Amino acid sequence: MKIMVGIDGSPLARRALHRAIEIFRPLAPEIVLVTVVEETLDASGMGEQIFDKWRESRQRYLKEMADWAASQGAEVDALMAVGDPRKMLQEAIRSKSPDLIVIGRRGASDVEAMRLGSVSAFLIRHAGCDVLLVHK
Amino acid sequence: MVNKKASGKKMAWGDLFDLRREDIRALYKTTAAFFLTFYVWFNMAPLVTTIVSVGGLTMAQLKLLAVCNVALTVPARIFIGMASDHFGPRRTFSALMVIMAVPALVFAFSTGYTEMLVSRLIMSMVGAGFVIGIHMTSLWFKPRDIGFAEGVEAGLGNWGSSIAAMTIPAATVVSSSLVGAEYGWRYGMALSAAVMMLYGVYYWFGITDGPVGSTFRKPRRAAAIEVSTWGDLGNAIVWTVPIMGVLALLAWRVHGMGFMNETALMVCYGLVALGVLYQMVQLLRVNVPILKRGVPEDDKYRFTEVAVLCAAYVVTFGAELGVVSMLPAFYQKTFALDPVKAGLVGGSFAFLNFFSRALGGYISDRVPSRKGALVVYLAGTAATFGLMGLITPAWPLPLAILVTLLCALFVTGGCGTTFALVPLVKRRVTGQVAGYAGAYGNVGATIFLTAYTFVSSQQFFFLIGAVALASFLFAVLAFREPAGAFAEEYHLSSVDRALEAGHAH
Repeated sequence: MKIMVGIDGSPLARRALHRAIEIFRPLAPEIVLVTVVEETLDASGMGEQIFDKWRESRQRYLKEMADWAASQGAEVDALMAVGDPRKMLQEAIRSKSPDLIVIGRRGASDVEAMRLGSVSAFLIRHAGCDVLLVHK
Repeated sequence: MVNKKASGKKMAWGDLFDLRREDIRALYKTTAAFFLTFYVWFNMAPLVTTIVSVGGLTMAQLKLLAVCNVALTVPARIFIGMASDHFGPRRTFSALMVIMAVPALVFAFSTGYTEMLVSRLIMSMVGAGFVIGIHMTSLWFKPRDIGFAEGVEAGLGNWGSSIAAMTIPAATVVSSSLVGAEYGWRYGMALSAAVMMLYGVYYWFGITDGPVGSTFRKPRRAAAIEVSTWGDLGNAIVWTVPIMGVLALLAWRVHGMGFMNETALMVCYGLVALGVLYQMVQLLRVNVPILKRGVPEDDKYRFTEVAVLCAAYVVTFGAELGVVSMLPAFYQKTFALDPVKAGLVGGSFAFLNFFSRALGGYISDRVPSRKGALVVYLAGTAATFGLMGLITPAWPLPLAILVTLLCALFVTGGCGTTFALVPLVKRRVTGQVAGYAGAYGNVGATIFLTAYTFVSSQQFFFLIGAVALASFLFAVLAFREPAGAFAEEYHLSSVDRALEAGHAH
């Protein structure tokens, strides 16, 4: 069984990964971690450096989550993409063809959460595989 | 955007009311500056009919003034952008506001047409305030908030043109009642220039380049855009020519109206040709070494995407600038409205900007395809300009206003969807992609307004509609939405971990 988990650095993403492992541990799943770094809208040269800094910090985060999942006895693939989260998650599903994707849902309480909400809403309709939505 | 929770909350609408925050105050100060430059930039359109009747100008002369009003904005954006990098946005913005108040005052109290023409031409540089405002905002806000902060800054600032359309006629009525019709419009206009000048002085003392303690860093600025293939280099050259080339069109037009002799025209052509040549040399200088070395497959991007965004901005922002300059006069003539009412109706076009531009970006963020959002907006622009062209005096006024607002919704929203795609084309050259698209907005405005000197209002709307249709087709056929790419991939297994652990012990 191959399970993809979309993580974005939020506590809920961590929870989604924990749930995935907790629920599916008996099936000895292969975990595919995917994180997507969105591109900055800043057009100045400075934005470039800061973007690199984010990407590095996200890389470390991905590494950390992958290590944790591996320490739970799972086979782990880790992917990092740059771009539109919806598109890139869809792309990741296409290339890795998991049986299930697990993502956290934060609810539309403020602007940023609405954006995230739109990622899960998009995936529910367009994922092309089963989707498990982890609530708060 | 990224690391939201880890590094605190992302800025939201509510934060805009938190005036205790220094960055929010800086945002408003800069927005006000941008607003004033736009206000002054567009302070003529609502008075066009008054100036004609009082000053005895022909309609053709007025149309030429409207063209001059957007002519030097493009080259000025380049030079003022450099100045802002060099001196910092605070000093540059202050200087721009104070200096540009002079031609504005000259225009207000001009005695002859040539004086008006020259002062308008110089004043067209005030439109470069946009670049400085964006620069200042980028110094104050963290990158994750910058899209929103600049949306607020650009949206509210762009209101300047519509607020000008709505308030200047009223101010003129008041001053006319005090000093007489012949001078009324002059004082209305002069007042806006004086306010801008005073604010320019205040801005010098009232803001810093970024939060106190942060150092003002000069951003990296390459001489020309990087491309990925030889074909794209040709493409880039072709798309660079009009940015300076529109000035030749303008010179030709001024010549055609008898304000410039053959020699002066040739000198102008020569200068424009030099400018174009300079940009080509820069493009070659930057790109030939890169292309000779070869661009790695995963680092390539298609210049066609830039071209489509340029074409889209021609019919969105370009059309907006063009229409804003003529709409009050159009309403006044078509529906026999007085200048105050015509100004109000005409101003409604740009008034929507703040909401609809943000809405365009918002929709682009939400729908599955940003390209889809763009093409729908372009189609809407084409269709609603077609409708605008059908407006006749027989139409009920509310219906005409409704069509105008619908058109404005698509046009300004189209700006939002265009700029929602700009940062996705190629990260490293985002600034330049934005520069290209932005410049094409002005190229469009100049071309449309030049065309306006030859055609009727109806034909003008149909023309924009036709160009919008062409942009729509170009976008549908040629644009490939950049989706992003996988940056990194690796595999960890429990076996690897066991081995690692084994080595560690």
